[in-house]
Amino acid sequence: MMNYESFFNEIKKKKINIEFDDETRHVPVLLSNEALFHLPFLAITILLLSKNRKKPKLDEIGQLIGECLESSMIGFKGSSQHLGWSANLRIRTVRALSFLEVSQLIEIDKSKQTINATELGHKLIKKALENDSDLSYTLSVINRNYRNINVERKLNMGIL
Amino acid sequence: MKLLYIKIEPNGRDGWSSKKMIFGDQITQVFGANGSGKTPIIQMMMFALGYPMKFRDDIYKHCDSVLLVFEVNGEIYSVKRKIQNTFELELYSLLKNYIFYGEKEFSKFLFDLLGFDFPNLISTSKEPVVPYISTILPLYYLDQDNGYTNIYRPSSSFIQDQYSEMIKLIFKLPPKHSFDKKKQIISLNERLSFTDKKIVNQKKFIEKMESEWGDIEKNTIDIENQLDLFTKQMEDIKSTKTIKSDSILICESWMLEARKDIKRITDDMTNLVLRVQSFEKIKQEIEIEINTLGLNEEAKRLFSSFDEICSNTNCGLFMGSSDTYGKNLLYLKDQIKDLERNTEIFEDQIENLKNRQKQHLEYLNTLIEHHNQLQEQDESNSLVETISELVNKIFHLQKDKEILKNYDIEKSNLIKDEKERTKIQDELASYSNDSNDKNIKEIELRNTLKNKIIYWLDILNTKNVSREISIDNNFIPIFNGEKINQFKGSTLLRVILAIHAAIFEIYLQDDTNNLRFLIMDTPRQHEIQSEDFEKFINELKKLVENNHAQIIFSSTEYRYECKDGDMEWLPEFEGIEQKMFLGQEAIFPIVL
Repeated sequence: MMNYESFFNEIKKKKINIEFDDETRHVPVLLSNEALFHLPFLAITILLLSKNRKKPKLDEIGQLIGECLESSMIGFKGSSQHLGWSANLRIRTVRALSFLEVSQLIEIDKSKQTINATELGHKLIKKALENDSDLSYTLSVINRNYRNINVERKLNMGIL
Repeated sequence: MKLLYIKIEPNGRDGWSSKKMIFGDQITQVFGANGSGKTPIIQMMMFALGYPMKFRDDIYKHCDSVLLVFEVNGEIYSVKRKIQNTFELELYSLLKNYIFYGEKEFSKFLFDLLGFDFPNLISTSKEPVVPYISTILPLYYLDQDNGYTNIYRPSSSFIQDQYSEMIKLIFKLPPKHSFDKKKQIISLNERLSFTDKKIVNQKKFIEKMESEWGDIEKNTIDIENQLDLFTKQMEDIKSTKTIKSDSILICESWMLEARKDIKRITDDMTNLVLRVQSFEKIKQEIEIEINTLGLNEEAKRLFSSFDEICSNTNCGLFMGSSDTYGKNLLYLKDQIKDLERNTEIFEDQIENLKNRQKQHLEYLNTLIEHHNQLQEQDESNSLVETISELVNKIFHLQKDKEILKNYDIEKSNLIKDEKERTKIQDELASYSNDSNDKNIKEIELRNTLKNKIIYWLDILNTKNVSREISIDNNFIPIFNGEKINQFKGSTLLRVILAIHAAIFEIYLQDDTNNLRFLIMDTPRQHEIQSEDFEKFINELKKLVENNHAQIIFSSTEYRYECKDGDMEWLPEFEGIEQKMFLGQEAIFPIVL
């Protein structure tokens, strides 16, 4: 039998440690939702942004698409997933961009480095927005958020 | 608006009156045989609300006026309208009495009371025109004959796209044709740019607070709890006899707290560092992608350089791929630049956290020192020190609480302003001719309407009607290409009932909507099976039960079994053939 004192002595001798892991913040395991976005939807989103008067910049498109999706799709609003930072999404966005250019739906303005929708691109996006489908609804929301992001940026820089 | 009771007053001694008929909180069933006078009773409700109505001659002859008492926002109003061809309506409320001699005047009053907009619309003859009671009530009232043949059967039609304008009006959407369009657009644009600025300033303020004040994640409850704890410690130490050991205990609890804070900051930092590391990984991934592209390109060139494989430069081997590869390469490099820019932002944040970690560590060290001193000091010293530290802590917490309060206010203001911006943008979109810019609220409404119509069609057991419904720009449902007027008989009746129930249900979802009743004058019951109609009424009962609304319907064959909150009106005057709803209050029965 080990008494109280010898128990603690023993522990000291053997250098046994009990570690208390208090309040460990559990990082929830999340699906990597960025994988939800595939080429067709990304392509149409780029097309949507590039039909606006304010054309998206080529080197910002990855970030911009991420931000727009994040602020427009309810599930991603304020989520910790930071779509703008996703590699997968960026690589896919670039693929979508190339697809759009090859199929002549967009043109790159070489001097301004902006993405402009072609006439065919305008036609396509118009059709996408025509009906009351989920797609047209989501695209309308994205378009509005794109406008808000731009206006807020300009205001922040003191342009407006 | 909640309908309380209705009474019809007689014209002279031989005139006809009705009993004082009290509306059910939820369902009111007007039950009686054909010819017992249900329709005049229902018509009187509409008439009292200003609706133009044609009665039979003997009603004009025997009835003097109708009295309708209702409640709006807790205020009781009674309306007395003369039963005659010219408009004369008196309205009494606790504060003021009114008399109206025209429908337009009364419409304006009632719209205002019910919280409806009173916009300048465009008439069918391109003149400015306002909405009337008579244009809006058909959405809430189904006339016995015409009400069941089309979605919207007003007594007269004089506004361009009248049905769609009325739907927009009750759902608080801007009108389709506004006479003040130009003025509206200018003022909306001004409001939009004002709100944009407000939002940007709020965001800046919030960001500044978040970076300056580290513990923004703490919420008010945390702070309150800590304040309580310290106040309690303060009291304990005042009343204790073992000051020294208590002070040590308290100091230890602070040390624990400080360690928790440090752990939290370290966790946050680790998170950020991980993210920066993942940037590196992203860059790597992108670089790998770029390399692979290069390999692909080279391999492709090798293939085409061999004449043995293909001598024709346009042979189509790997067609289309060359362009894409080149582009991909270029664009991916852009992405790396962008990522590098963003990494800097995170690195700043990490630096910030490092500083905070340092501060907390220093604080922990002073606590440890304090703890050691306490063990050596005498009682009175430890008392003074512990109390002064407690006071200090409470002071800081109260300051934090104040900051947090401002932060919370700012955040809720931001949400409010963002909603306001969406609303302004929706309104602007409605006025705009740009088909790309849509009123999102309107799309939502059309989608909900579609789903609700399907729901009510199912309740009514409607067969042979496609559930592939689309709602056109004028809010008219189209059933897989078929229009409403292509339906006949029982199917048409069910479709109309379903549409009205759907509109009513969506309308009730907004608590601030005031016109919370649906009145149906005897749907032709031989055209619908009793069990289907019963299911419909039961479902409506559930709807009004949960939404403080009223259903009034008249019936001859199907008899709804009244439950709590329902009323049944029966004819009580002796007639020659049967009991009647209208009659002489005298002893003698009247002849219709």
